[in-house]
Amino acid sequence: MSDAAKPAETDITSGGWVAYANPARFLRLADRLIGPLALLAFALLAVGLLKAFSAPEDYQQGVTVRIMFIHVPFAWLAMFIYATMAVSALGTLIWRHPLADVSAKAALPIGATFTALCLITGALWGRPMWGAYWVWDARLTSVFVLFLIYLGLMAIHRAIDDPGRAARAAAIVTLVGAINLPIIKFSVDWWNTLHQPASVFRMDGPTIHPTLLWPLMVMALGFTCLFLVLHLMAMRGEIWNRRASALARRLARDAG
Amino acid sequence: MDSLPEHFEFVAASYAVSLVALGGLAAVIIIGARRARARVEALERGASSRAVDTGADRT
Repeated sequence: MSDAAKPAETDITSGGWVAYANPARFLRLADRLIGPLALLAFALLAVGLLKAFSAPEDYQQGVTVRIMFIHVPFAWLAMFIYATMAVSALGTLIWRHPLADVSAKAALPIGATFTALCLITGALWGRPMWGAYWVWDARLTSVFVLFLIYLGLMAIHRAIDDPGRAARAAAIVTLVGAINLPIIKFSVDWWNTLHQPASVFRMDGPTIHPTLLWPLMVMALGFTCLFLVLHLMAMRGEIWNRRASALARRLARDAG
Repeated sequence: MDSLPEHFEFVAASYAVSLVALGGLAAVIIIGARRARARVEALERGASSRAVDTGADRT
């Protein structure tokens, strides 16, 4: 590194978290974090599964209550990942943070997968409990809309060649789509739904028995760590992809 | 013979689908990142060898 570059790096470092706007610095941080986070995710999910399958069955739902230990974390993460993308969209549009779009784009397939799994496990839970895999209930429909938004955002990134334009378009759609998050959360209160109302995050505390609540929280924490691992890996891949594209363009220009 | 609890097949299907989907997603992300990194390294090697061929001063 030349001496001229040093003051600029010092200025960036003094900005705290802003220092990680530097993709090279972020890559080094991701390399350090991925291993320990993956181990933590594995340990939490192993403990969570052990506790989930040793917890007593529900007196009404029987063994199917064990679907809750994956369905509920998938639902939370489907919304959490979208909220993360909405913050990244602000980063793209307002602060023009170099990693904001990378973060949002990398989170897309992960969020879509967690949302799809929420819908699939919900359907598999609904069949024995409600007698139907699917009903056009407000909660189910609003989560399905969330899944469609994820697919739409992926289509935007594929359809627009210029990464800058794609990032801005996706950021605007992400922020507009964020209106769906409170609709999902409060759909069970605003409309008369077949889906049960909130039973964990309530003003008067959780209504689930602790023997079921603890495994659920451990599984949720484990899946959150898994999301962080996958997100960091996907961001790393996206940075390498962009670097490869920039290098290929430079080589083509030099050759021309 | 002891039979499985009622509706156990729905529980098994939920966990199996989740395992396959998350395993597949992780594999796609890891393979994608490795390919991108390999592409960057190949392009950097190409760029440096071209600089040597043309006698360019890369310092």
